[in-house]
Amino acid sequence: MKNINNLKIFILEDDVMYGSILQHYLSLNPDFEVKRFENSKDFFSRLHEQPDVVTLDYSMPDMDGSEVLKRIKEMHPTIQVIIISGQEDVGTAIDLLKNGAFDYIVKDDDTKDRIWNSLMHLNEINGLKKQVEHLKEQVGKKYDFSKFLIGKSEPIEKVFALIEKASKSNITVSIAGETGTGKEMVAKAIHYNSDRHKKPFVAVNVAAIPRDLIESELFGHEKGAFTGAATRRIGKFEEASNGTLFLDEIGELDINLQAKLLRVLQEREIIRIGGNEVVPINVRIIVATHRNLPEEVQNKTFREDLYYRLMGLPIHLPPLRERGSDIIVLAKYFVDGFCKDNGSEKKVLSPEAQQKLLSYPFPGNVRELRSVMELSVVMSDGDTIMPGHISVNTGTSLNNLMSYEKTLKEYETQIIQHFLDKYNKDVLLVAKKLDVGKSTIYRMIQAGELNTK
Amino acid sequence: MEANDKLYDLSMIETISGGDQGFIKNMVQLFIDTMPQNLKDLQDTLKQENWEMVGKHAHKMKSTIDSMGITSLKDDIRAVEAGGKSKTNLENLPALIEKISNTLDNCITQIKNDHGL
Repeated sequence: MKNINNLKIFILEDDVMYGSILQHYLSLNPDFEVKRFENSKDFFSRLHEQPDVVTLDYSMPDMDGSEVLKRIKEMHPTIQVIIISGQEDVGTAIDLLKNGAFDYIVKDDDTKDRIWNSLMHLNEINGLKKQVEHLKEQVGKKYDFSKFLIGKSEPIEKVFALIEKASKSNITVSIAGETGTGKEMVAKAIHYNSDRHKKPFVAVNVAAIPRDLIESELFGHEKGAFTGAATRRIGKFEEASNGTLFLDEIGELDINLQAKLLRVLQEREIIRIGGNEVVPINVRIIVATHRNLPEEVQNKTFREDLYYRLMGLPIHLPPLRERGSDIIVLAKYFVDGFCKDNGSEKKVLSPEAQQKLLSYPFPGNVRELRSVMELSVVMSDGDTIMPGHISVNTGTSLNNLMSYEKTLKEYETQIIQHFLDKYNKDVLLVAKKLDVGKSTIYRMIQAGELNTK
Repeated sequence: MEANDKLYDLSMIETISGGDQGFIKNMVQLFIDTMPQNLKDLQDTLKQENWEMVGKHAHKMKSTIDSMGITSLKDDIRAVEAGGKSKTNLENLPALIEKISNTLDNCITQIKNDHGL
């Protein structure tokens, strides 16, 4: 198999002459990018550049070879190490190979050829590994969107049904949902289950790109179109050619650009900034927002015509707290995943821990649940996750507070109570802090709405 | 050994250079620059009878001597390395190191002449 990948090689060799010869020799292969280090201090200070392979002189004056090997493997387990040693010593060689060295070569007349062969061999293995990863990814994505979205509750089953429908056509899809509900996951699931799955899936977070750049990001620009446009650049629309373009946070798009986007969607063609050439585009559009677009339309911050153009097939992603027992299904899925990643024993959730999860509103939704579970896996020592291992910030953030969806009256009571507790039930002080009449507070205390014990 | 016998052979470096004359020149210069110090280290540790360091210096010089194709020292430098490391054959080390020193000195002179350095 032909390898398209370059191999980045670090040579650690205190003998300048030998190291230089080796460096020169290996550099003859255009696929090899070679750097040479004469002491382990310099070497380790550059190891973050992540070479694919290190050739290591076993007898470095400042650090023992097996120590260097150990440290490399601790810091970056994927870096392969070829040991080059002055002596033939079978015992040392076996130890080093056991400790993860890829090869052990004795300095000799034909050392260089042997290193070369070893590197070619390694390059082939690396190439195959990458290919396997790639294929795995393809297979997973192609057939199984349960990898992206997990749940058995009724609201999410409805979403699954809509994803199926969306996959079978080219209709524009608009995904609405709170932050962390998995909007991008839905977009990916649609793409990889559609007949466009072999073509690119390109995601653009409109909110993450500065206003001045978004236009060229989406539509591309010609060389010299503006200061700093040194070369021609292809925009995301062209990049996603025959595939899917996912525009996240579409509600943040500048009103002027909305007109331009509308035109592109209607004409199905773009003109790069500073260019004249009309480029036909064939992309499936999926948009997402956590905003309430009809409201934005009313406020005139989102164009009505664009809104109707983008609506297509609307998919509403339910917030996690409306998905009932999915919280537990997901929590278990994340726990299993983290245990597996960390190579630890399987852990279970105690009934009390499950109860704690179910009673929390998860303003950050699945994304928050994921972080909470990751932390809980780390915090729990045994094989059971207890409520104490689950840290959710109860009642601190505003978002969290809002997600309870209480009445104003209820919120008001809660806020005043909070301040009373904080200021040692000092009604006068609280009245001043909150700028309400003290009699209001007294009345509420009398009515038993507030607790002054 | 006659001083005008060619003591070194750059064919290995030339092969590796792939015709890069600059590289050959660098290697030759590197040899001239570093070898005197290496030799001095070897002689000093011999005087101190620090056999372990004698072995280590010989070890370091070994690959350079091989790279420069100084075949007349191929076995001698290995004998010094092994002797120093295992502290055996110590009575022969001074003579061997003497020979190595002379040959390398001549070699450096030769190379300087041959390359107009």
